[in-house]
Amino acid sequence: MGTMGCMSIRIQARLPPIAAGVGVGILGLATALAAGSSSIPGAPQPLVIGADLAFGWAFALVGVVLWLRYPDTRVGALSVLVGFASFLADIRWFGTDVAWTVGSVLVDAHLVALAWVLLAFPTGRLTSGESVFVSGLAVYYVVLSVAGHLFEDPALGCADCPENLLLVRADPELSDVIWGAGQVINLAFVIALVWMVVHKWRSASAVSRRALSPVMWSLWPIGGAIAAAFLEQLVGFGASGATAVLVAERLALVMFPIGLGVGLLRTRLDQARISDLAVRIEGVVGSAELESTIGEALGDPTTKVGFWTSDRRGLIDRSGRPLEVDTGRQQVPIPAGDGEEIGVIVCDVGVDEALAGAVAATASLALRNESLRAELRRRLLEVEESRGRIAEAAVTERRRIERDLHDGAQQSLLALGASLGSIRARADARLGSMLDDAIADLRAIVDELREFARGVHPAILSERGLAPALEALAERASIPVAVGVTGPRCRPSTEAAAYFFVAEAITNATRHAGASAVDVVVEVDDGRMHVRVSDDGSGGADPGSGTGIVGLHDRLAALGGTLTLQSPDGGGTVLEGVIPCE
Amino acid sequence: MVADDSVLFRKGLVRLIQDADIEVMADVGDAEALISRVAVEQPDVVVVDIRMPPTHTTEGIEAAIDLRRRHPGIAVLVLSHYVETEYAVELLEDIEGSVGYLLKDRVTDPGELVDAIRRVAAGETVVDSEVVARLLGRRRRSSPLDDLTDRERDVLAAMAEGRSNQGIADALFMSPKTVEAHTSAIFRKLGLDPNDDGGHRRVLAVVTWLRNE
Repeated sequence: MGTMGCMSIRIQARLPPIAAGVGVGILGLATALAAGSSSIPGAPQPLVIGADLAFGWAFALVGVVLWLRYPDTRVGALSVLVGFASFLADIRWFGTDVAWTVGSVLVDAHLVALAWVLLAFPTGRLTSGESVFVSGLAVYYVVLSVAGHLFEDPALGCADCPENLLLVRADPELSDVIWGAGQVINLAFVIALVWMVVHKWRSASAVSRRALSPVMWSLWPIGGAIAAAFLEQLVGFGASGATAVLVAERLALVMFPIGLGVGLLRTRLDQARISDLAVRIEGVVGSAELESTIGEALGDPTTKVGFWTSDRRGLIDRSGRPLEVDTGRQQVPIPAGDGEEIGVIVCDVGVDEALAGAVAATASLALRNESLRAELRRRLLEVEESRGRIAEAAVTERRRIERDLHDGAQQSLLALGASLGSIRARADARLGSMLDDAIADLRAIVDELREFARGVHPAILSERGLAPALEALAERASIPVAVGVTGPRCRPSTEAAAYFFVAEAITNATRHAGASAVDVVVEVDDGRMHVRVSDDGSGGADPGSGTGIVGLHDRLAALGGTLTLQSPDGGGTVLEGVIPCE
Repeated sequence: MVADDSVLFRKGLVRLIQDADIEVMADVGDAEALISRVAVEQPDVVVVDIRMPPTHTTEGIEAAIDLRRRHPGIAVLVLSHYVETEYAVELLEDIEGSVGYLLKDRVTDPGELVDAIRRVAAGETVVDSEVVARLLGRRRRSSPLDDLTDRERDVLAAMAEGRSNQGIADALFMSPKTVEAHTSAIFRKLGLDPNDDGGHRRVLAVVTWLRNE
């Protein structure tokens, strides 16, 4: 039942346009046949009949299609009306008095219908001013046309020629006055129409303009054809010239319904893209597909979305990194709704501005959330960067302290040691043994100082790299430590972090886990240094207890690194650190 | 000739050396001055600090290597703060014979320092005993070193310090015959090339073996 009901509604909705279209088509064919076979003087030549038919049918056809596709706008029905009106003039050639009279009065009725479509496009509705204009034009036209025919006798001069039923009395002078006045009023209406169309264009939203522009383009050949017709009336082109102008005029007018169709199709396609975007955007917020989804709506895969930073200083992408906008790219503001701007959609200059604006407006709610996230990410990046810089500065500072200890205190102590040694060589036995004690103390101090300096920063690390530095650690360890280092050197802070990571891990392995051997493997892969320290100790290390592992974690995190710990009870411990190389 | 950027330390060092009746022809503060003075004075031995201007890292090693390339007849002794074996090996790999790597701490024992100077002057290779102790002290999972007797380990350490068989015999109060027996046993147990049985190549072979084992 539901399906049946639905189908009947569809059929009902389709019936009027198709019936109207078929009716207009048949009317056109009938008038064309009548005109072609008519013996009345002044009947049109086959070329003009053909052009008339093309004009009327084009309007009817485009009208039916638009009517079926977009029944909510009246543009389709109005186009069919133009087609219908264009055939009214030719009912004259049916030959009866009534047909002749009606046809003669309505000979230019399609121009009124045309004005109506032009003003109503693309919504199909008229503003109140436009309604007044169209109704006024229609009333004026009928009044003028009827008034003119009251005194105009066609006087066709054949036996079975039709008669003008409106004729009161034949008065060529009066009818000329009426038609002359009509010409002036016509001009006024044309000027008013042009003014209204220009106004409509200027006040149109960018989206409506996108629909209007094909129609506007179609007006150029029409204007040209009308100007040619005007010129023909003024100077006269001869019989074949007049026919050519007539045909050209009709054919130029065919451009108009095509413009209507293209314009409407364009808006509808854009609307489809935008409604598609509106449905999809919620699903892709927060994912990398956001940009590509907007890019699809715009038809430009290179589309980027930039968000203003909270201080409005610059644009960032969704990952929070600064967005470089190439010159020569179109930047479409994303409105926030409160008059502010969230950011810009950066796309190719070829993308229609109106479409991009509509896309930006549709996506703005989703993009607002995204911009908050981007801002958070930017701040996180900033914090990470400054934390990295602090870590780097700390390493530099420790190196400096280590050097100062070596070249300052240690060097002075050793100079003292040299003096003592020199005195020792000259001293007697009693003094000598006292000096030996002093020298032994001094050496202990120097050793302590050296250990301290190494704890601050191992010189061998900066001078020879991580592998010799770790070998040196292994040499000092109280259990066997196997070291395997491969890969290029990294920034000093990364190497220092890796060194202290290994040192701490070895200390843990010997002191807490009772390990009998430790393996150290360092590799650099994909811009990251992987440091893996495994032991055969008791395992069971708890990342939460004690400051050792927490300290290791912080040291790596400061450089954007991570730490993983595997330490099953009785199964040894594997500590793995991953640190960005640069 | 002595090169060290610390004036205080340099003067102390010069006095120590002079006390041992060794003539100090010149003392300089950086590698550049060292190279130019050596060309003029042609000393027998150059004693150089490992850290010197401009970077205070390992200029001394580079200066020693450069010096030996220009003047193959001059012995070089590098004084170092660093007990890390890396530097000693670098030096030994680049300079063959008449070369020494000694910790700076040795200045408190003039005898040891002067002995090292005399040994490098005599063409020997000298490695600081503490550096060697580190090499030997490194813990290993299982190593041929475990098969050595205590006496053999003492001999190995002395070999690594650069002592000749006669030098080992003197230092450990053994007969040269006994030393020879020990060294050949060590060479066999560690799988070292028996042709490297004396001088610089033996030191380098032993030290490298100890580092890489």
